[in-house]
Amino acid sequence: MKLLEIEDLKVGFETEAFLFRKKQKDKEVLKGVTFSMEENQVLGLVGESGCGKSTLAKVIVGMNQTYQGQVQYHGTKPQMVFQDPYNSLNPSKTIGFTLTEPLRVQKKWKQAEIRKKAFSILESVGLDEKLFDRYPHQLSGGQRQRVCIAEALMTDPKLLVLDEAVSALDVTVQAQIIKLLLQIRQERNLAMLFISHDLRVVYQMCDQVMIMEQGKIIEMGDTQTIFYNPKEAYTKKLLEASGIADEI
Amino acid sequence: MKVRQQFKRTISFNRIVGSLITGLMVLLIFVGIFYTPYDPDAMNAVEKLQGISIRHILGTDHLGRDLLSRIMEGSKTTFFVAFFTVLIGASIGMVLGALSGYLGGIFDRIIMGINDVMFAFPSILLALVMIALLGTGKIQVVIALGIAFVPSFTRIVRAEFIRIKNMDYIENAKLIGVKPLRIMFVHILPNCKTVLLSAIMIGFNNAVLAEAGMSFLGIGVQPPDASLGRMLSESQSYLFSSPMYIFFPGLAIILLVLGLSLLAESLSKDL
Repeated sequence: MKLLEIEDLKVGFETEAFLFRKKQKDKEVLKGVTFSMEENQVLGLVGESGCGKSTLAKVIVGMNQTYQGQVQYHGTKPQMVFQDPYNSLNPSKTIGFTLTEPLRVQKKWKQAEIRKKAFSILESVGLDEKLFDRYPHQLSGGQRQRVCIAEALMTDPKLLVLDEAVSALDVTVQAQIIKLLLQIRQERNLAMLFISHDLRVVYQMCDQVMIMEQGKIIEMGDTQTIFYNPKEAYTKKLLEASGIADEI
Repeated sequence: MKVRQQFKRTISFNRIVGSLITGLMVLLIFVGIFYTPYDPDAMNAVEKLQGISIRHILGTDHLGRDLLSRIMEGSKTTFFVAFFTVLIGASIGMVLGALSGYLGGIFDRIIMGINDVMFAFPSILLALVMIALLGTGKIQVVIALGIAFVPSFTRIVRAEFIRIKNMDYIENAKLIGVKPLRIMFVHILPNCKTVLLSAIMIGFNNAVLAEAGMSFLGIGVQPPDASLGRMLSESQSYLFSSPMYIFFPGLAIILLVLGLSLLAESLSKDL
């Protein structure tokens, strides 16, 4: 079953006219992106900085409404996990508040139910219940990222968008989080769009990979195929630059 | 390491002295609500302009009123005028700053335009205009100064909101469907507390000085109500014949402002 369908997605940024500034039709960031995602699929999205990866992520979760084309998701709204765990938790709120907020704003849950659910999700991301009343500054980077993942899971989404979600972590923590993500994927039948510039992590995690260059998807296929037999010159360049080409 | 230790010591020095002075003044004010040695308004033609004595610890003024009682009464007036001034200024400034920082766009431009115009006038001049419109008295002074204090709070809160609203955790809050008002006052505002607290402390000091200044000019608190500024203004004719009369009200103003400044400084470094 299709979970996400995107057809001919275009996003451009415009500067509005004001006083002496003319209205400019700026560069297009996404130039007609088309792809779809299945249930329980982990899809990697790779490309250099500024190629439109994050813009695509923002469109999918609904943070960017100024696009042309078709974006359709089935089931619960996709949730997002951000890159910097030091920036994605509100420093003046307890972990408990952050976790329960997504359900509290829906106004159809009882307080006790929300708490119970938060505790069970805390457990499933491998965190102690004691953290419920702590503040973000009392947590390590890895713990924070686990909290962010837990928060994203609170509304039971079927699709998780991970925008460089492990890039800011050091290597050992990175490995733990990747393990956790794969485990959660099995438990909850979750699909993930995994955005990264780190090809090693993508190789470890993803079933399929998309390569993006300047707002277009230039190559797409199974991870093995792309890594062993890249067709496009740009893909080869990326693989070489990451130093992974020699190892495979 | 050594530098750090020294640094810590200055913080605690500020804190201790600041809380001692502020504690003394607050004690004086709160005791003054229930008890003063004499009726602060009771005149005594026999004991005019007395110096320090056992009967009158700080002496008497030109109408024979007990100075300690009047300073207690005057500090109380000054304190509460400053308190409500800051309350009005900070609450209106907070709401306007939050809306203008978070919403941006045309609303922001209008609010900041008005703000800049108000900033162009000295706040005491603005207060003068308000007094001319509203008349004189305690409540009028509070309203006039309160409105004059709004722009500085608006500006501070707006700057904080602009900084915080682009953080990932606010983006995420929008994503999970939190309503804008809840984002503003539940998610963003608590993160402004450090800046806001020191702004309130500094604002309080400015309000004490502004009230004293207005009463000194005779447009603030009206007689027979005591206020530190009024006492200064009344005592200036007796500057040389009875120097203690001008010394003690002035000292009270200095202590009130100094204590809170020290406390504010130590708190803002600590938070």
